[in-house]
Amino acid sequence: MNTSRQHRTEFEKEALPHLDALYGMAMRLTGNERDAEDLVQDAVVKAFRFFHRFESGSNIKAWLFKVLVNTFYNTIRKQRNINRLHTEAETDGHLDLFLSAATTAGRNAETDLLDRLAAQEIQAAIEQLPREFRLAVILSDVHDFSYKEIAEILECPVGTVMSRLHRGRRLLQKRLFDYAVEQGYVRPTADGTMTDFETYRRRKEGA
Amino acid sequence: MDCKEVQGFLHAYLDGEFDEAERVAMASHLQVCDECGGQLRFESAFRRKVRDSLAVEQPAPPHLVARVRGALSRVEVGKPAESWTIRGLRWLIPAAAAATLLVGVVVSRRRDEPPREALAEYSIQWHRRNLPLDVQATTPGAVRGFFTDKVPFAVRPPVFRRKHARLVGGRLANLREHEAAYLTYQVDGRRVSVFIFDPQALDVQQVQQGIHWRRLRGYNVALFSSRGTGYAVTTDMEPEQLGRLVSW
Repeated sequence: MNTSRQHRTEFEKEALPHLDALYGMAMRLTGNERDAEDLVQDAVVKAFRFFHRFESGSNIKAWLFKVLVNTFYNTIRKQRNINRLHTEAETDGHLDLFLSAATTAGRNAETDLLDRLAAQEIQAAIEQLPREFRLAVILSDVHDFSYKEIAEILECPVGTVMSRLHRGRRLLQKRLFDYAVEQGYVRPTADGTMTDFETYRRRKEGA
Repeated sequence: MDCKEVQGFLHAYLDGEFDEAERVAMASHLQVCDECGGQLRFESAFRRKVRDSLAVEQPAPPHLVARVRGALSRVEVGKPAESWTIRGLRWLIPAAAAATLLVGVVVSRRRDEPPREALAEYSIQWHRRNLPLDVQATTPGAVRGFFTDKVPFAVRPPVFRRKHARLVGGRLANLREHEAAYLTYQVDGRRVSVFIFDPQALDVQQVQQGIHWRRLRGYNVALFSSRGTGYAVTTDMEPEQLGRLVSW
C-alpha cells in the first residue's frame, strides 16, 4: 500500500505540473471543455498505468502528450464512421502570395501584413487546418517540441513531421492571405500580383 | 548550400533542428542571398505571430486537478494494465465510475440491454407525438443557444449533408428523469427526430460503439454517441436512407 502510494506521489509530482499544457492541447483536439477534461483525465490515468514503462530521465511532457494524442485518436477512430472528419487536405497553390506582395511593395510588406492580422484571426485559421497539420504546428510552435519528440507523439517518421509542418504552415499562410484579401487588407492588382492596400490605393490615385 | 536546399530546410533551421555546422552553412548563404533572406525574415515573423497568437491557452480549470487526482487514487496499482478496459468504455465513463472500471466492463457486457431498447422506444414515442416546439429555428447556432441554460450538456445539432435537409426547431424533453433536447428536421420531405442526451446520466454506455439500429413499428432509430453526447435519430425512412443520413 505504502509503495503504491509512493508510486502515485512520484507520478503526480512528475505529471501534474503539465496539466495546463495537457488541457490546452486537449481543448485544441476536442474543441470543448467537457471532452477536454475527460480526455485529460483518461490520458493521465492511462499514463499512470503505464508509468512503469516510462524511462525516467526522458521527457515526461512529450510522453504525456503522446498518451494524450493516442487516447484521442483511439476515441475518434471509433467514431469515424459517425463523425466523418472534415479535414480533407487542400492542395498547396497560391503559396507565395505573401512573398509576391513583397516584390511589388518592398521587402517588409508581408510582415506588415502579418501585423494587421489579429490573434483571433490566426487562431481561427489554425483551427481550420486539417488535424494532422494542426497538431504538428501546435506541438512545434506552442509547445516547442523537437521534430523527434513530435514524431514520437504522433507516431510517425521525422520526415512526415517535417512535411506536415511545412504544408501546415503554408496552408495557414494561404488562408490568412485569402482572409486578408477578403478583409481589404490587401487587394489584387490588374496584373494578378498582390500588393499592399495602401500601395494599391496610391497607385490608383496616381493613374 | 544553394537556394533550393536552403528553402527546403528553412523550417528546420528556424525550429532549431540544425547542428552548428549546418547552421553556419545556412547563415552564410542567407547573408548573401536576398531572396532566401527575405523568406527567412517572413517565415520567422510568421512563426512569431503564430506563437504569440496561440500562447494564450486556457489553463486547466481548478477542479480538474482534484478530479484527476481522484481518478488516480482509484487506480489499482500492481495489476497489469488492461488497455481494453480503458479503451472500451473510455469516452463515456463518468468520473465516479472510474473506480469500478473493471467491474463496470463486465457488468455492462453481460447486462442485457434495456436502456438501449427503452431509448429507441422513447424516441419513437416522441417522434410520433410531434409536440409543439419550444424554439423554431433553422440554424444550429440558434437551437444550441436556446438549450444552453436548459440542459446540462452541449447541444450540437447535427448538420445533415443533404440538399433538402432543414432544421425546424426543438423542445425540451425528458428521458426518464433527465433533461434531453428534442430536435426536429425536414429531410427530403420527411420528418426526422433527433434526441440529444447525456449518455452518462442515462446509463446507456453501450451506445458509444458504432451505430446501433433499431426497427420498431415501422420506424427506424439510429443510436450512437459522438464527442461524449448521445444521439437517437428517428424517422420512417428506409434503413439505408437513415444510414446515409447519420454519416454526417
